[in-house]
Amino acid sequence: MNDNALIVFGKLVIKIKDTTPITQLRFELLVMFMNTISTDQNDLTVYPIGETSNYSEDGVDLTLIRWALSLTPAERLKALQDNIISIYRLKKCRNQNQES
Amino acid sequence: MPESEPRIIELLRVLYEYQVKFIIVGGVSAVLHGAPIATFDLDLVHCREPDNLNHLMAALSDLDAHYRGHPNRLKPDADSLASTGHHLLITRLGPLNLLGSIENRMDYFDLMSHSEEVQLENMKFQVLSLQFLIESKEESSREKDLLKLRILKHTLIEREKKQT
Repeated sequence: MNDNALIVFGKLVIKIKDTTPITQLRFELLVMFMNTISTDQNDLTVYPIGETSNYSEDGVDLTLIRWALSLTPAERLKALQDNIISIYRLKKCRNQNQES
Repeated sequence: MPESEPRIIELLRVLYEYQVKFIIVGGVSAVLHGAPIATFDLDLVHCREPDNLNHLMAALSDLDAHYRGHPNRLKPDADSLASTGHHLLITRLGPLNLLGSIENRMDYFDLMSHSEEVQLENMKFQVLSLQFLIESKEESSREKDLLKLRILKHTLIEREKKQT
C-alpha cells in the first residue's frame, strides 16, 4: 500500500498514511472483511465484495450492467426514456448554438 | 415534420390500451433485461391474426403512424401488416418498427416460446428472452449486432451471478 491508498467503509473514507509493515498487514486483514480496494496508485476504484473487475476482458463496463440489473424493468425503461430526452435536449442546444 | 423525441413508454401504453398482441424485441427488449444500451426505436413482432390486426390498425390510427421516409405520409394497412415483412413507421410518439417475422421467418407464435412476461407499471408485456436475443445476434452478420452482442452476453452472465 502507498500513502495514497484509500479504504471506503460505507461512506467513510480513510486515507492511509502509515505504511509500516505491521500497519500494512492490519489494514490488509481489515480490507478482507470490507469492500476490496485496489492498492494501485493509479486505480482507486472500489469493487464490491466478490467482484474482481469493473471491466470484462473485452472491454465491457460491468459496473453499468450491474447498475442496470439493480433496477426493475420499469426503472430500466424509464432510464432509457430519460436518456433519450436528454439527448434530444442536447441536440436542440447544439442546433441553437449553430444557428446563433 | 419537426423531429420529436421518442416516447417509448407512452407508445407501449397506447398499444396496451388497444389490446394489441405483440412481443417486444430489439434494443428495448435488451434494456428491459438489464443491458445498458441506447436505442431510439421500438421493435415489435406483432401477431398477424385478423382480430389483432384490427386492434393494431386502431392503435396506429391513434398514433398517426405512417411509413418513415415516405414522401406522401403513406399509412400501413391491414393487408400489408399481415405479411411477414418489416414495417418501419414513425408515430406521434416516435419510431415504431412492426416486424411480421424475424430470424429465419419466426413470427409471433414461433417466438412466444422464447419470450417471457415483464411487468411495466400496471401493464404486462411479452419480451423476447435475453438468451434468445443473444442466439439470434450470434447468427447475424451485421456489425451493429455483433457490437451489442458482447454487452448482451455479459448482461446474461451478471444476471445469472446475481441470481445465485
